[in-house]
Amino acid sequence: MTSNTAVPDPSSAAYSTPTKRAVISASAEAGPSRARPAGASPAYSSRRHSLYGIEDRVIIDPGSRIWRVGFSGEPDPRAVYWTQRSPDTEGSEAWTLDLAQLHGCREDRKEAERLISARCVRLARDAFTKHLMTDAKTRKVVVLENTFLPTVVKEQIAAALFDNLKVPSISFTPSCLLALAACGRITGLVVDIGWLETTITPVYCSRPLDHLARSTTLAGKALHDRLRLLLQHHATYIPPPASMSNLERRPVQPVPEGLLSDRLLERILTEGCFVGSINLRTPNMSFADTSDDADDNRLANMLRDRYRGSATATDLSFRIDPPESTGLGPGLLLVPGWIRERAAELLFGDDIDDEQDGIPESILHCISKLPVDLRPTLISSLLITGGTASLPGLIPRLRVSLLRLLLPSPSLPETGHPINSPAWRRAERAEWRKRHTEPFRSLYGLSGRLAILNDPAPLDTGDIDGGGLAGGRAPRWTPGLLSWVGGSLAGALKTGAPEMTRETYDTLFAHSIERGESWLAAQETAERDVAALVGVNIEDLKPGMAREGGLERKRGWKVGGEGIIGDWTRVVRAG
Amino acid sequence: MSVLYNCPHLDQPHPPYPPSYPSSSSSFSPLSHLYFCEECDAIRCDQCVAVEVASYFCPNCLFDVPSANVRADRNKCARSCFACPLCKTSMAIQATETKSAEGSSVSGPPYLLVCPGCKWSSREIGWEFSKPTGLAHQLQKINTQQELVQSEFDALKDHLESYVSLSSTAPTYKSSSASRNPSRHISQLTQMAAKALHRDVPGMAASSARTRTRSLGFGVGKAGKEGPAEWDDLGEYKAKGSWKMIGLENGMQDVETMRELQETGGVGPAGLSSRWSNSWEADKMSKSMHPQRISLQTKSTKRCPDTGCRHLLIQPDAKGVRMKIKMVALNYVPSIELGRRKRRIQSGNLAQPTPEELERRRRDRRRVRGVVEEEDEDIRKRLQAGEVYNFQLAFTNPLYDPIQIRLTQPHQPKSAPTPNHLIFIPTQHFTVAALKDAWAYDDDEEEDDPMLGLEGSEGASEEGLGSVGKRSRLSALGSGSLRDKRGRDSGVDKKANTTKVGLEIEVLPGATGPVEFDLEVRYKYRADEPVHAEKEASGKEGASESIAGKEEYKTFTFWIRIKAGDVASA
Repeated sequence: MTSNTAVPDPSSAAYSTPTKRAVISASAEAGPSRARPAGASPAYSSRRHSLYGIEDRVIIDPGSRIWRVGFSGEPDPRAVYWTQRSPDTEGSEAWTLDLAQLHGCREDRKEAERLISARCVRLARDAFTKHLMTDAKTRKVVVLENTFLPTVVKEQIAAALFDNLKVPSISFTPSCLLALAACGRITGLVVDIGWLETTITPVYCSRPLDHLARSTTLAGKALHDRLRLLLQHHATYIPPPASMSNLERRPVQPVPEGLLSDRLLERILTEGCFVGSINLRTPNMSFADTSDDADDNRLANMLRDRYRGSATATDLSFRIDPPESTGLGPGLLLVPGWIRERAAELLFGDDIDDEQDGIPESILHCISKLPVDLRPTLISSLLITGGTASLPGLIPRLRVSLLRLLLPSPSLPETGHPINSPAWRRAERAEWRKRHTEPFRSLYGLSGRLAILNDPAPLDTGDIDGGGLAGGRAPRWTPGLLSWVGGSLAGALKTGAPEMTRETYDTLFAHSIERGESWLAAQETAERDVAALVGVNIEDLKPGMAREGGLERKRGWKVGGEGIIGDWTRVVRAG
Repeated sequence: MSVLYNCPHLDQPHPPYPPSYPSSSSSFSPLSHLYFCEECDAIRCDQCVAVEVASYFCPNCLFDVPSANVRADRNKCARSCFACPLCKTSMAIQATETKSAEGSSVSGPPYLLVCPGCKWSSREIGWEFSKPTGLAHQLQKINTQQELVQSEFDALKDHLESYVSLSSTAPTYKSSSASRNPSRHISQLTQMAAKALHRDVPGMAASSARTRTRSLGFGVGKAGKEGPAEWDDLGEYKAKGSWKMIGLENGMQDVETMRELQETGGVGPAGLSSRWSNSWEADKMSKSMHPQRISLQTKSTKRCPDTGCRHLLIQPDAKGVRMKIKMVALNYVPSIELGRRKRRIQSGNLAQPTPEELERRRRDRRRVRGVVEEEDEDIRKRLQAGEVYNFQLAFTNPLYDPIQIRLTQPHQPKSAPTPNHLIFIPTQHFTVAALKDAWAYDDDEEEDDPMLGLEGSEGASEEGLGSVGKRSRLSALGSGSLRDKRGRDSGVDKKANTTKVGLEIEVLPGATGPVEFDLEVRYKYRADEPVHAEKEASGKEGASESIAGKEEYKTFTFWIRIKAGDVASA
């Protein structure tokens, strides 16, 4: 769960009980602005007002792979940049959800923390010195916080901004809220399809319902892995000629492993891939094809059998630089059309082997866990954000998949028996029983209200009095930058989550260190007490020694007076 | 092959984590990138100095942009500097050639932006300019897209402002922001409850119910503009440019384009980096990408990050290319280079060595040094596993006093993985002569400068790896008569203010990846004025080691990371 646990914050009380206070609300900082009448004067709403001066906040949307930074009050970020300079040698993301999995840290969490700290410092410094070119000491910062941003990362970002850059204040604002704000809303179900994970956060009246949020690892990274697997087995690489005398170019398949770098995959994904319409063919599972011992190979072949027939996209060739330049021009990578069209099927979870729910299932699971009175509202205000969601056709496909899950299976069984015959009844009964086990039956009634706010191809049909027509009503921001635009708006309005000033941070930090030191000191004295009592240093005490040699008691604890072993509970002070 | 220097950031100097910990690499940089704070007596790097922008300039037209304009221009050149949308080269302005009546060609308007690299012309997107100057200004009139986006943004801001100001005028909010102590918290709860009781019951009071449902996205068609009814609600926002307006067919257009795609590169969809900072949905094809104005760059002033110090390390001159203040580490810390690789010719015995064997070999190697055959190798070649290499480390002294260097290998943390190589430093203690004028060195050759004495090369090696000479090195400075012989023997090569010492690396059999290791360099130099113990930032022993007498000596310790090369994969 995300809350202000990263740094002990007195204001977290107001935060963890969201019913008391809207998170989007004028902050205490904006003193004079609160007295303003609601219908602001034109001088205020004009953007010229905040172009100069230091009121502009810096908005940072820190992703594990891409950071977006800019000033509040501007519709575009000033810079978008990769977090990793060489993703093939140091991992494609700056942090992982499980610290032990971080590239290069050998399952050492301490090392992972140090690594993240070093990266956050570099990225934050780059933001201010390279991209924004401004003095960090005068700028308040709004950091967009994903629902499941690891606390360690949040701490390190705060440390980088406060300790290294000395910014005056940071406010960590939930990104789902800001994404909705960019669409002029405060209620909605935000589906953030990012790199490490897809998070689904319901927001109601500007309160993120964090306890009902869910996430799945079906996101950009999983998509990359799938694409790499498919390309390795089914794409064809035509290297440049070996020499001028030998101009023959022989296609290579499978594609050499080192060739498919992270950036190349990104290029193929953004320049060649899209999401095709739903694959209605029933998969012909050909498990007999197990001649290949490699698991990957089997999976890749199975996927090919499955998808090749249903795709209509053209094959595409990409010019790529060979790993070792020969000076004889680029190589070519031929990507089959079905890979371009079907690589993203993974996100919709119709894999054979995979037990994992796809994104549509996760969304419906999330909705079915919501309080009943919120379900209709939230299902008609889905908002899809995140970089991976920019894949052409992903959002319409998501809508189709959701609708498919929400339609009950045909009520009349096609058995061939005459109607109302006993056999027919039995079949009908079986059908009803089966429907009873369908996971989303409680949501069937809401299928007419399903609407995705930023659906690029909204339907014109749907429940008129329901929310079915709400689809596509959001402004046309790109999904990847929705939250950033919302952050920019919030910064311009001087609202956002509670600010933490550097003074507070420093005090809290000093306090925390002090507590740690006093704990250590207390522990030391406790040890010394014991040593004095026992007569030997506790370090030298061997097993059984406490029971012999002048010590009568077996237990180290006395009910009434002084214990033999010091009262260790007193070392850990409450609070 | 690289030699990187460690910056301790703001900590006390301490041995960094070994190269097997990737986090340590962030505190290593090349010497030329480092600064030196005289006050703190410490190395500072780009990751820790405090940076202030001194001036902005365009890297293309070199115009110094006044800082007042920088924000409005979005950190980009507001004159005529554009980058090609395809290859990012800076574009040239070209006049159109027209044939005049006499047959001679006349160049004149309209002017175009043409890429000198890939010949992309702005005619492809319909950009033509009437004047060859101030293109960015002319473009503002042509390009209305930006204003559309800005107006949508402003409308959103006004829309949300009503919510923000309403919720802030609500009494409940005030109490929550005024104080956060528990008692107020409870009182706020009761207030909330009271407010909830007084609120209209949805469905009973028609007006309030209507606003509620409308705000939640129902009843879209209801006309009439009314103020938001509740402090906690927000009316529906009507987007100026929504997805719905474009419609279903257009929405699926990009999927169809992708499906029919025949080629990539200049004709297909543009790459991610050329469109990832556009927040408004636009055509993805690279043929519709626009040239971007070139980003400005800055000259910055850098200060020591220490809160008690804050001395200037770098201050550029606004007018020229010189620096007013330039405290670079190159002037304070000896520069170290790695070179002259030799490979030892192995004589049989290629079996996997045991640790004892390795230990024995390490001892042996020292004894048989000078006898074994070595051959020179190209330093860029990949290293071979199981081979022993000899490198030369050259130390160049930037100070006007001779320095004494002690070279050791820092200890590894317990949990560190065992490195893929062994290092042996034959000469751990040596001196490097002072920096002088070039002609002064010739005189040096004749006179037997006691400061150049090289005592301890043998003594130190007897003490073994990582040992610290217990004797005061300075006491031995006088005995420099043995210099010639011993210098040759241990592979020490001295010339002017440079000393070259040997370094043996044994790449273990089966090793892979880069051969990287840290070395601790401690040097001792004569301080200009007597220093106090507390000013000694780096020395653990510090001033206490300096001998009593007229001259005061200071030590400075730093760590370097040497990458000797990559091991060739078998």
